[in-house]
Amino acid sequence: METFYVTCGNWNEFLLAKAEEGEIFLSLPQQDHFEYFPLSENFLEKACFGVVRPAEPLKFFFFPFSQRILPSQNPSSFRILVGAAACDLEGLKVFDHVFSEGEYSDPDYLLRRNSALLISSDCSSPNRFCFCTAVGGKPYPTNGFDMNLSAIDEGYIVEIGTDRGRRFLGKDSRFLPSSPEMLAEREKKRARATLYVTENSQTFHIEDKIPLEKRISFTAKEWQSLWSYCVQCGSCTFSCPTCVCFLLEDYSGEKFVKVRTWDSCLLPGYAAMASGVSPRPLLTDRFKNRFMCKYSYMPQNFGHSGCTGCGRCIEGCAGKIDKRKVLQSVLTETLLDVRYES
Amino acid sequence: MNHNNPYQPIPCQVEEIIEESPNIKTLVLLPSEDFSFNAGQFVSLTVPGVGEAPFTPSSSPFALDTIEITIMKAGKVTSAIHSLKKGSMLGMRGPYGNGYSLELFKKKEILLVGGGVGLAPLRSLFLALLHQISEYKQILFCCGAKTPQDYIYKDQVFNEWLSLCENLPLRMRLAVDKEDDAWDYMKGVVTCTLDNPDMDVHKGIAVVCGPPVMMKFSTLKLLDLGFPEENIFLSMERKMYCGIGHCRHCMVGPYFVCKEGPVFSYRMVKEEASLWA
Repeated sequence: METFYVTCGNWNEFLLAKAEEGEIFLSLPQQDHFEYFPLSENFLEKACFGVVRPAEPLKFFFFPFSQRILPSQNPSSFRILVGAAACDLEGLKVFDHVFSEGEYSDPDYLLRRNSALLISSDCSSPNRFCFCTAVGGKPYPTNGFDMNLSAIDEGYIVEIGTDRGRRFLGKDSRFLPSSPEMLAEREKKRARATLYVTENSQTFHIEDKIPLEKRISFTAKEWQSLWSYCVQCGSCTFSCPTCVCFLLEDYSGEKFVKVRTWDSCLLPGYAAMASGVSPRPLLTDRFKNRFMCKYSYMPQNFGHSGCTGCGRCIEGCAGKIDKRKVLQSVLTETLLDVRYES
Repeated sequence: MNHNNPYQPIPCQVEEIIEESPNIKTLVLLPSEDFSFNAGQFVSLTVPGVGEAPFTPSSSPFALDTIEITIMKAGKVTSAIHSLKKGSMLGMRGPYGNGYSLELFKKKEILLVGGGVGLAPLRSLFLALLHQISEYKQILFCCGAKTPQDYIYKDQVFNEWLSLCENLPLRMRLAVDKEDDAWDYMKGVVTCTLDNPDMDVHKGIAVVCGPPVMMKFSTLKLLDLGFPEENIFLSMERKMYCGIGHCRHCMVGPYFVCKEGPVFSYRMVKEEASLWA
């Protein structure tokens, strides 16, 4: 694919000028994480793309926590999202499967998806929770982006992924042809990041075993030892780039007004029917269901993993449950202490 | 149907309300647009401002003017539906999911077993079978309810349908858990109607619909009798919001009740956890 080189300063100037074309959100460094903020000149000063995934998955932009879906809302403005990681692009593919493929598509999602430009970036410093390589991913995007940024020296290699990305860049003399040396430098950095995630994940012995092909032999008691620190806060589901579950509520009034809100399969009322009966009344059932959804059901449903290895569910877990250890326990049929050190 | 927004319902007027039992009503609905469905498919009904819930129509899929839906009062939405009056408006969207595959039933002996309000989807299927009764070898319709008062469609069951048995390849077996003095039929839980079905069970089709515990024990008995797993059809019920395979609330293992169901063969879902919830 076509690649260019641009200095950090020129890239920031380019982005500032692009603010006329739409709302720009940037993944910016905070104390110990990255987070999306609307573009402002002050923020750009501390921008450094291509370090690690932001705290929020892309669904925050395409599938808001709560939104009116009937009647449909007005089109959202054009958005330019800068700094999503490879795992986030993979997560978005699950949303595309759900909302834009199959018999029924979701007009609100399509509208948001079509009016957004994705400028992703490599992860040069994956964190200790990342395990993308164990679920078939890489710490740098290879597809699914309009443009991608790889940080090298004092600038970025900009890779064009789509015609839309090409048009967005336009003819801009600040973007120089990338040299073989620059591309070699990118490969070196990518290899280093891949090695880090791979070595980090290898300690859990979970590669090549996902998606799950066989039924899990654990009894309820064995599952209980895995979920015993779960406080059912739903953080793992809400921060997950592929968790798509939602509920619908009707607003009072004469007209048909419907609001869609995120739901979490770990919460007790999730599957409860009007009679109060739930097919998964126990946390054992719900914990196992979430696990199976990621590693067995979603692969069966869409041919795509329900886990991108982003590690947000681990990092945000109130009970400090390391899902990699849960996976390891299940896959090796060995009960382990699944908590991690803060 | 508005395909631009899958959540947009068709307005429907309540034409008639039939009291089936103290907590079950049948609503006769007149959709404002053409609407058709297959027996066993479901629709989502919305009471404006209250909420939405899925129901399987109980009328014949061949009756196109109105659609009948039998509803037990159980929660917020069904309570609101029960308080509707003749002339009230509500919303309907669908039909969704896979219903009964009538092609598969042709030239076969068919056993239907329903309990309580589970008779509702079976009524739709039964009326569809009656519509082309010459296509099927014979029908054994087994019904159960707690008491004679809990039977729905009383007039049809005890008068119309029983009298059809004289001239058509149709038999009916009726049971109640608790009889009263006037009860002339079988006494016991609905599985007692399944003894000696008097049909070639190894090639027969069985269709089960009712409360979870009834479905479970009926299915186990049908398997004991020799019905093949792939010929036992279950009508599954789950919490549902979207009805279109997006929200994932209705899943039974990897299967969407709203897409691959609500009718499943026992073989397809037998290994799924919490099947009988």
